[in-house]
Amino acid sequence: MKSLAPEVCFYLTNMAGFGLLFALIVSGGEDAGFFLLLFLVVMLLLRMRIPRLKYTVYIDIIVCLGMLFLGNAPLQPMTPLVWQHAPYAIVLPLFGAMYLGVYPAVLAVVLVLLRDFQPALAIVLVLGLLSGLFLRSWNNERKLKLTLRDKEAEKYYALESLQVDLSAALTQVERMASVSERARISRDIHDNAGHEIVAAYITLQTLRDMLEGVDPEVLSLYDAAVERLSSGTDKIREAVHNMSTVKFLGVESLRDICDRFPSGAVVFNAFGDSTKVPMYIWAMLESCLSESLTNAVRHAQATWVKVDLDVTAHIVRLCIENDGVSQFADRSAQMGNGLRNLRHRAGAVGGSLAVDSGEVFRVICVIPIKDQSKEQSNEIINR
Amino acid sequence: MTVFRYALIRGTRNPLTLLCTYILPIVIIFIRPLWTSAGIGFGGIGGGGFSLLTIITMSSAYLMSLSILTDKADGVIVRILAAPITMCRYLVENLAACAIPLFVQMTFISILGHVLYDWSLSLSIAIFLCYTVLTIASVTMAFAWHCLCKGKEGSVSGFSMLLFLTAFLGGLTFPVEAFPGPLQYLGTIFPAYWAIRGLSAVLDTGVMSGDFWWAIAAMLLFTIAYLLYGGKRRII
Repeated sequence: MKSLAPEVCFYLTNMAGFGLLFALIVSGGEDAGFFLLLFLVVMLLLRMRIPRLKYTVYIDIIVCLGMLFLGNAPLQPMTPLVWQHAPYAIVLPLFGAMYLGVYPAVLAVVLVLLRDFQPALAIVLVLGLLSGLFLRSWNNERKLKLTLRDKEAEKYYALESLQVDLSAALTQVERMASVSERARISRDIHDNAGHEIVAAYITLQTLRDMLEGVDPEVLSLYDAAVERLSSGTDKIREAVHNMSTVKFLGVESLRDICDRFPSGAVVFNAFGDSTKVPMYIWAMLESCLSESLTNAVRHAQATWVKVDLDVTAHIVRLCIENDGVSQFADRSAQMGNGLRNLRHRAGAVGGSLAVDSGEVFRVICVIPIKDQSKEQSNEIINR
Repeated sequence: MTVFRYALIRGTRNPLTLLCTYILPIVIIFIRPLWTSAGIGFGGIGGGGFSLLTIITMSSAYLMSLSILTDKADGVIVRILAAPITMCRYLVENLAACAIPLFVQMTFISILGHVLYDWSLSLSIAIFLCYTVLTIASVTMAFAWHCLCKGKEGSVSGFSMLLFLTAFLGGLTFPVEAFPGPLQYLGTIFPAYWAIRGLSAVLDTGVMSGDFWWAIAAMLLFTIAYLLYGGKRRII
């Protein structure tokens, strides 16, 4: 069952109040009371329809007070506008004023009681005020809880998104590591074993001319061996060719992302020795570059993008700049999910990701490079 | 004006709507006993013609505005609002399509009454004014009723009960003076009560007196209340 909201309670209380006042009108048969009630209903519906008009509750109170004061005018009471129960009708606008937080309206209670003090009336007025205040307090508490719940939900969704991104990144790193290993094996076979076998084959071919006058049976065996060596060389060449990757790796991968970017010119510059950068950092840099280029088109409407990659002995720094409108100017420097997740990933590998939204929008990712050879030698020493 | 045009066309497709809106009001004005003999209507006005016209006006307003409920129930409203049209425009054009045929009928009735029954000019104007405002109030009441109800069946059955209560307590069938004390004033919550009361004031005095204008004011206040209530609730 849906829980009862303060707003529903407010309207139910008002309906009950209107019902009681209408009962008074029916018993007295006074048109003035009916018109006052109808007017109050219209004003309540108006505030229900347009909540920002909450200060119109003053109009309700003024009309009720006007009817009270005109009815008690000593010299010439305006009979068509008189309703003897008008002081009770003011309870509903006062209740509404307290619920809406229009606190100065409480002065009307003083005016009513100064004009026409009755103990029963005083009790009803105080009851109306307190009920409105309690209902407002309940409403505020409920709103606070809802706000907290929304914030928690937002955090939960951000973490969920980060988890998805990290899983995707892990898969990407695994895939790239596998491709990189294949490339290394293929290179080693081609550069070392392949060259040696080809050299042996050439030597054997040269030796063939020097074997004139040898037993024909021996020559036949020799030719068969050379033929099999030639076939083996072809198979090694084919295997090396098949093992070679078609995917770009490292700097070439970043350049490929820039070249394949659909809109506008992306200028890519790379400096330093990129061979020292491990594969998991390339995966991180690729994600950072893709996200920044997507943002530049989707949110910033950039006309140019510049990408700089600097690799030093200790760090790798990727800087992406564009001339688009500031993406975070109207969101008080809040990052989107994509960049926020990248910042977490950069932090996880000891790096950082910074966003500068000045005249030129800039994303800078800095990641330290661990010297693997030094680490390996340290491990050997420790053993 | 596409919505307006189609709302008008849809209104004429239903034979009952056609009868209530376009035929009955004109037919009853020619039935002389309804407008001349000492009345059974509220406060002894006419011969019941005004009461009958009030019931017909309310029923026509409801039947004409039934297309809003049909759109809501069939989900057509979602497709309409997917087109470049605002909710406000959709409602205004629909409500105008419900009210305008009735305005035309009231104009004819006022003119024919003036010709056939020697109604004075001020009486004819007062009748036209009173029924025009009642038409607007009835259309907005039907709109609020449609917004309140979820299904067509519940809406129709509920409105028939409401119409009965209006006729009974609003003095359309019996003079309210015939009811015991408090019951005499219960009908004030219906616009029809005020229409009959305004007409009674004009027929008694022959001029548009203060009571007449108070009745018009009450009906206008009802109109605003119904529009605000109907506009607040989700129609989709």
